[in-house]
Amino acid sequence: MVKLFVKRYRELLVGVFVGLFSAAYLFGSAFIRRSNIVSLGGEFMPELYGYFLLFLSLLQIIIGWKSARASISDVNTSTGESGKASKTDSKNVLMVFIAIVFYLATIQLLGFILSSAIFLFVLNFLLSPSNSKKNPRVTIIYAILLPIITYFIFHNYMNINLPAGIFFN
Amino acid sequence: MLESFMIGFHSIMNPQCILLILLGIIIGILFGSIPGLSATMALALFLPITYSLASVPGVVLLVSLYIGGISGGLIAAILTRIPGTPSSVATCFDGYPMTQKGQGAKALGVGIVFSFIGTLFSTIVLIFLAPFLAKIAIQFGAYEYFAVAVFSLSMMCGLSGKSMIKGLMSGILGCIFATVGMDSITNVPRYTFNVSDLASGFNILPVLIGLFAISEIIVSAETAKKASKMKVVQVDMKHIRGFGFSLKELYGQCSNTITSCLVGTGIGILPGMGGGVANVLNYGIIKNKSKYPEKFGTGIIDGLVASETSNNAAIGGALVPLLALGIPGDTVTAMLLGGLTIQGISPGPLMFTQNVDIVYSIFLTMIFGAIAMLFIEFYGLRIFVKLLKIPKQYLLPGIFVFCVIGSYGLNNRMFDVWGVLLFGLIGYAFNKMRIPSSPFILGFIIGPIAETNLRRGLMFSQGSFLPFVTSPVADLFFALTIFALIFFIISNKKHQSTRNTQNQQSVPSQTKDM
Repeated sequence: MVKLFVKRYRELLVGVFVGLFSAAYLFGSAFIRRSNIVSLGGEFMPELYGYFLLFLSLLQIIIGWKSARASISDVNTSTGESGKASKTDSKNVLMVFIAIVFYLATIQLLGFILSSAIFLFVLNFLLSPSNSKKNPRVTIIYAILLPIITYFIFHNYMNINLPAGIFFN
Repeated sequence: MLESFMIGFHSIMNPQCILLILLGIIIGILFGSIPGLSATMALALFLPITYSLASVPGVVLLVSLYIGGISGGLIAAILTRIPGTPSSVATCFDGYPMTQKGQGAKALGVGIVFSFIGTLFSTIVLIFLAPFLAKIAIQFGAYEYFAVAVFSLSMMCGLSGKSMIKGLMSGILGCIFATVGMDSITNVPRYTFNVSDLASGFNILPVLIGLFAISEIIVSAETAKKASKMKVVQVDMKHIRGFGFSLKELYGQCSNTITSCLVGTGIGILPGMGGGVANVLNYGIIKNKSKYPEKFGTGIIDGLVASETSNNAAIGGALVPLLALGIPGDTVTAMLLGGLTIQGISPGPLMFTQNVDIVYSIFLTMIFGAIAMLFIEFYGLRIFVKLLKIPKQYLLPGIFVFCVIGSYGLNNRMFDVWGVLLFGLIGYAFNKMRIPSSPFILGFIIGPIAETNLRRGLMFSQGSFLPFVTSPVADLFFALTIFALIFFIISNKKHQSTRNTQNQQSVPSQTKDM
């Protein structure tokens, strides 16, 4: 139901979302300190961009509204594509996103090596096709070796001090 | 010029640079050949490695990755019918049918040799045109630079794809994100929300990595569970002589090659366009001009020559505005711009006097890189085909880890890493909303150039806009902007009406089928 709604009103939603963003951006431009020294202050371009984006979002809303109405009439006259199963796996996307956030949030606490090893293992599991043969031994070796080798190379030869974490400090 | 070449020659003729050229070409080809990975991603991944290298080796590595990445796309296009990069979309049209006819080795040979010719031609154009343009550009002031920036921004329309409104939205959003931080003229904070990390604004690197690498990883998660194994056609490379085609066939493609070289280089020079536009556009031109257009798409070398020559010719073309004006021609050159900035070099006309070694190292890397690409790609093909089969569940998480290192190493702070995630999410949202990402990059880079030069110009003229329209160079670029806008609007309307006609034609046929 939600997917059908998003599909039908996608173009309209794009316009509304960008419109709200441009309104917020324009509101924010009011807080930029004005200057009398120069003819165009720091607020000029943000205001210009904000109004132009607002104008574009209004055009998008009109187009989106028209296409949504056309798609409603299409559904009335034909079977449409609504019956087709969606190919995207939203749950997996959410899991990948959570894994990324967890990785970035723990990188300083656990250190680059440990957090990367956990991340590589989890993401390998999330991105593996369900019909493929699982090889946990290869995955574990890959997840452990890659962070250790990269940490060693970047730390010793490229002077990038990646977070060591509480366990290795 | 000869003296400058000698400086460049001395800079790159050492074991480190030669090794980096070979490494860059091999990894570039690998990234170009695996669908889902691209030359942009290769550059993003290797930017952190250039931190510790000196300027010349760092730039040499990035340019080699660029050449390899654009050319590598032909392998997947010819053997799997999936373009490895957007630059090799038109390669599928004739490359894969040739493979199906049992001429896979010949198709690969033609593609590789004409990629080489395209790169070499555009490098020669670059060598002569860039210093000439830089000489003119060195006299540019704020008025002229503002006009050039406006012209570059107009290219957002060309990168818009199906919807010009969405393309413009993306470009303006890019300009908007570039306004975060301290104002360059009055030093006033803008949208910093009292967060000290935001005072310096968003760095180009997290923006590029996020939009092009991270969003790709999130997108691939959508279909990862249902993904099937890629079918790669096996090609017999053992019993092939030379590059698989005769000299007569090479001569027969002279006219096509010249047209493709010119179109590819020309498209590459235009800011905002690159190999992705060049190969499809040129394929259409060559097909229309051919004596046998009906044979295109059935597996003839003409189509392959058109695509592969033009996409590689766009490389040199795209480097012309980058080196002469400091304006990136496409997303990969935007990445190169990031790489040069990290090394403390600001591309533009002054580079030709202050960084002669870097400029001529780039020229020579392109020549040596093209030669290396010719042999590595052809004779190492069996290895590349095997690497095509590396599962994505190993590749993509590894790339993410490298992206984290790259963004962290920029300033040794987590803020840039979170920035990567933010722009990754923006890229993913763009993908879902069918908003193109390329105009965002253009807006992010060109927006501040336009703003700074407009306000600087107004300071010189004490608030008068008159000098902006009385400068002949500025007028030329404003005229070009108007011409480009009219061209894009007309071509967009044409495409839209073609799509509408196709939709109307498909509806009755579907009803008939039912």
